[in-house]
Amino acid sequence: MSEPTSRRAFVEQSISILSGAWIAAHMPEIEALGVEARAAQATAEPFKVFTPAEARTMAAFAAQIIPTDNTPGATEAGAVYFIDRALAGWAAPLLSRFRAGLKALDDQAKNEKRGIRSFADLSAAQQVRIMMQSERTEFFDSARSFTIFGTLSVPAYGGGRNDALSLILNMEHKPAYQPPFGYYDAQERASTKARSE
Amino acid sequence: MNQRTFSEQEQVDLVIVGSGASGGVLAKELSTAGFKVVVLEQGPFRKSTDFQHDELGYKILRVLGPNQQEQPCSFRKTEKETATVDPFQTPLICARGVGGSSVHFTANYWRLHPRDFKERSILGPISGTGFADWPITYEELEPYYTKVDWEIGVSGAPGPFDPPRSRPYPMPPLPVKSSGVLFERGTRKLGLHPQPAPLAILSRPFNGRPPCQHCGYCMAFGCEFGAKSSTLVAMIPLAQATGRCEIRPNSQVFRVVTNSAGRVREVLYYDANGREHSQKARAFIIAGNGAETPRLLLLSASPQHPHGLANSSGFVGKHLMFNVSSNAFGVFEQQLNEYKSVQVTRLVHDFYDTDPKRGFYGGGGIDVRLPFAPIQYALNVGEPGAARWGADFKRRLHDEYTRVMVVAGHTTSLPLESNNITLDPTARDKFGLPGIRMTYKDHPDDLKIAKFLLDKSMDILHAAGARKAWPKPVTESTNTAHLLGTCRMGNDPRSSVVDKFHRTHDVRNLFICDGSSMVTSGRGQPTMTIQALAFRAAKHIGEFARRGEI
Repeated sequence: MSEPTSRRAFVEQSISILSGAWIAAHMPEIEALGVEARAAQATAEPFKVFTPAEARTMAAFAAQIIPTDNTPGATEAGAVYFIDRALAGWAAPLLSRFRAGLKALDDQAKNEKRGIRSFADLSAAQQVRIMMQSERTEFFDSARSFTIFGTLSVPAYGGGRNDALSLILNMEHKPAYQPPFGYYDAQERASTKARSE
Repeated sequence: MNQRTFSEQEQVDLVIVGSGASGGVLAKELSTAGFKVVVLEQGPFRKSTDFQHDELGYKILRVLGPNQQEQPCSFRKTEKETATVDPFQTPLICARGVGGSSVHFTANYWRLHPRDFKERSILGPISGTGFADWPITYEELEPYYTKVDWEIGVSGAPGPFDPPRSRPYPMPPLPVKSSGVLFERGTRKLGLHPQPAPLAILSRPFNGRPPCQHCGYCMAFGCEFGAKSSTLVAMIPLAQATGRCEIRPNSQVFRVVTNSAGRVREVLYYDANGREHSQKARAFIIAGNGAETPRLLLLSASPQHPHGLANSSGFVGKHLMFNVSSNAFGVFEQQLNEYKSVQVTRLVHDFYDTDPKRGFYGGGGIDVRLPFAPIQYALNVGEPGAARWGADFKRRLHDEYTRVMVVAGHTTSLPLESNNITLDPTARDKFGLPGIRMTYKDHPDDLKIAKFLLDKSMDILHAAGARKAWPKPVTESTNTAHLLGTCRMGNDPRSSVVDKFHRTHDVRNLFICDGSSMVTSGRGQPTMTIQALAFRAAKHIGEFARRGEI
């Protein structure tokens, strides 16, 4: 088969040669094509279980776990939307742990600085200081894991937007590859070829 | 695909419970041999094109596998503890559905060595264990290993420690990856003997299937190209094409029913809607896996068989063996891009045999791999003290994920009665039946050989020129994808569950063939042997059926 250069091309090519059943089976990937459009209106997206205040605190926490630099972070990936959807569904047993943990972050923030209402209102340095104090808690562990899930999973689950997975991990993003795959096997091929010539 | 269907009232020749690594082979072989076969598979009938590049779904949520709400499996280390059901993570890493765990396996296809079948005679007894010889030899199984190579589709090239083979591999190895090149460098420097990894993944078009497209999604994923040789693509279509085999998905068998003469009359199963059905046959083969098979026999207890069916020995569910694995990580200057292509391309078997000089039982293989897909890598991998969040964490992911590889050891496990599958006293599946309870604690020698291979793996990484390397400490196993030994084969009905032809010692028309049949654990990578056993069992069961001996 030829080597499509993008996910979109791959899916389009596949749709042209395969049946409707295939499209149904691949809905998550096809949905992924709408990512940019969805990310643009992200601020207006409703939450399923988080209150707006909880979502703000959760998003601020996630942004410190996987910050934004020259590649997308948890914010651009929409990790908070993933977490909200997970807690409304398969991870529902963890909702109370998240609720309590987010409240604790806000409470610590209020102690840290007079007159503020949310962990999200603190400076980055203040947020990091508070998070370091709670690093050993079950909430921190779960919230860290879910931030990673929400940033590096496929968009079908609500996060994973803006190609965060391949940009953060410095991967090519193709549905399939051909050798050489990396530096050392390319080098080996070149030297084998040189020897045989 | 169109397939013949049978009515529940019709007595077919054979019912096979399970359509995975062994069930798929048995279905194809016995239907091709002329028998009418119904295969009852607990999971759905997926197509290759259903499979997704979705790590969260396949590796974390495990959409192919049992889930702890509907098919709970509890875990404990010893009988003194109360087993608990983790709500999110099953200790039982298997795939439900047509093709079974062959759909999601990594596809490492190592043969056992001749010594594996008679290690007990060579090394002597090991006290406190059920260490035993197999009732068959490598020579008896070799023709069936070759059938696996050629009918399932295995790519490879012989290595210096390989057992004798009667026919070459049908396909050359997959192209070497950067990890394989570095591993060769390191192992040769240490005087070891690297070889291409044999894989049940096509390196060339074969039997109407396309070769590997190097997408990188093998371990725990299904192959959307059909290039990975699951029974879903390599066997099931051939079974259906005979016009004598019905694959009946979403059929959870919960009871094997015997008559007053002590023969199996029928099996009872639930369909997807929880409606009860039955299927009659002349003979029955259970090919679930090393956990589901003993569970079904224990669920089939009756006044005639108070401790479970085919369990007069008391060994149904016992001698569970996992294989231990060890992991050493190394980061290199340049990009390896291990996320591309198959998981493994090189290995060494220099440490395969038990060496009494080491002071403990066990041996193993070492191979080199992708160190987990991205999410699991980000969650768990990093040298001690590495940042787990924040800017440094992110920089590490960006710089290292494409430059890292893992050198992995794969070891023996000793058979212990205290490691077993039983019915959980409280956990219930979605039909209200007792769930699986897994009790497991590695034998000290199993952990010693894992540590031994871990140290060798670190040496290999340093010799290969790793910029930095670190070991993951060996700890006791708490989950497994290898479910071995729980209905093992043997000549003595007092110490084994099936005979050398996979017939249960207790019930004449009941056979068992899957990972549970294995007497010893090999060195990891059991599927090749499970399928060789299935090809061999099919031949003998077919002969028994033709001679009216079932």
